[in-house]
Amino acid sequence: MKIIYPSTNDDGEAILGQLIPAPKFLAQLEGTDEEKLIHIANKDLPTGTKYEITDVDLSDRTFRNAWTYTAGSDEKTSADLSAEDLAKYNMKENL
Amino acid sequence: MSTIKSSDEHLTLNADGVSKDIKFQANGVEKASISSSGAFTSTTIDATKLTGTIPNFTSTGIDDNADATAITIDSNEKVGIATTTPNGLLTIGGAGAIGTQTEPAIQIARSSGNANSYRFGVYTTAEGAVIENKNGDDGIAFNVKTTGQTFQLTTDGRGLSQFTAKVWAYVDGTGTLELKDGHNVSSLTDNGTGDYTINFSNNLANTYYCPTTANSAEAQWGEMLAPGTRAVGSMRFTNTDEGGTNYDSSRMWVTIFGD
Repeated sequence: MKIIYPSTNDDGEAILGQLIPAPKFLAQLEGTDEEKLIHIANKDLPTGTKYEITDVDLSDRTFRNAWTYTAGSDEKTSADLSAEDLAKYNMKENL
Repeated sequence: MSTIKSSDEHLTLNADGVSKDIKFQANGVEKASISSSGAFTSTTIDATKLTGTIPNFTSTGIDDNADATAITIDSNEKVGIATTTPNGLLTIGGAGAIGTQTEPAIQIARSSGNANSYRFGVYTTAEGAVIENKNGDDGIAFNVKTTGQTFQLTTDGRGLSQFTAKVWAYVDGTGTLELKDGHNVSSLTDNGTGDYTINFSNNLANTYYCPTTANSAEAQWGEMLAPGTRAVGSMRFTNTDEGGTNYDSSRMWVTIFGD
């Protein structure tokens, strides 16, 4: 599973961003797979970013730079990490 | 009536009556006594006359059940544990000087008598160094005489120092972006063709870190993997072909040293 969200490329053009969890990091988290991905979204995406968790196969990158994000029915919004998690990750503030 | 009598080879001193003590006087002055409850009291005891061992000695503060010499204090006031010839002020000698993880030579235990619950343990020699368990959550810190703490091994498996990699990753950018293996990486971001971001599990102290990148050209010898925007919690990097156009590679390596 992965996280997709609206992003921009180096030229500032809208593009689909994909956040791929690192297996080792994922393994040390607790909860369901979705809860783990939500935690990663909260950690690695700026607070307030709209995103979706999906297992759609996006391995064909032929037109990768043309992909854009379209909100789906299960769209979520990244939230702040707790103060405890910020300290745990050596983060001074949320993104 | 108080009596002194001999029965066989024994000499019996008896103080008749309840709560009556046996008293020893010299020139009419009491020097020692044995109370009716058996407590011996003396104005002084000549310790030089005390010899031999006291088996299973106990007092309010000491309980000695050793069956061999455990502690030696020599004439130079040096203390030896498991050695009778301490060369330091405190010397731990013998086989116990190099312990095991469960039975370290030096141990500060979290709970009494529990060999597996210590918060600090030295079980090997480290001349000129200090090995400390800062607390249960901070792992183990290694200090040296001049620099102080030079290395910390965290409970989540990171080695923090200026000479250990803070982040490393082997990334396959073809197909679905994949972290083949890595360290201190929480996720990868696919920003488009040849454009990626490594997100760190734990932030670095600042952005003055030193990234090194490498790739293994697959189709074009001029491929180049270069670091981009740096943040304390992530670093963007791009892979380009020999013409400078972003290009997905299956073999990209990133290593970061820093604070």
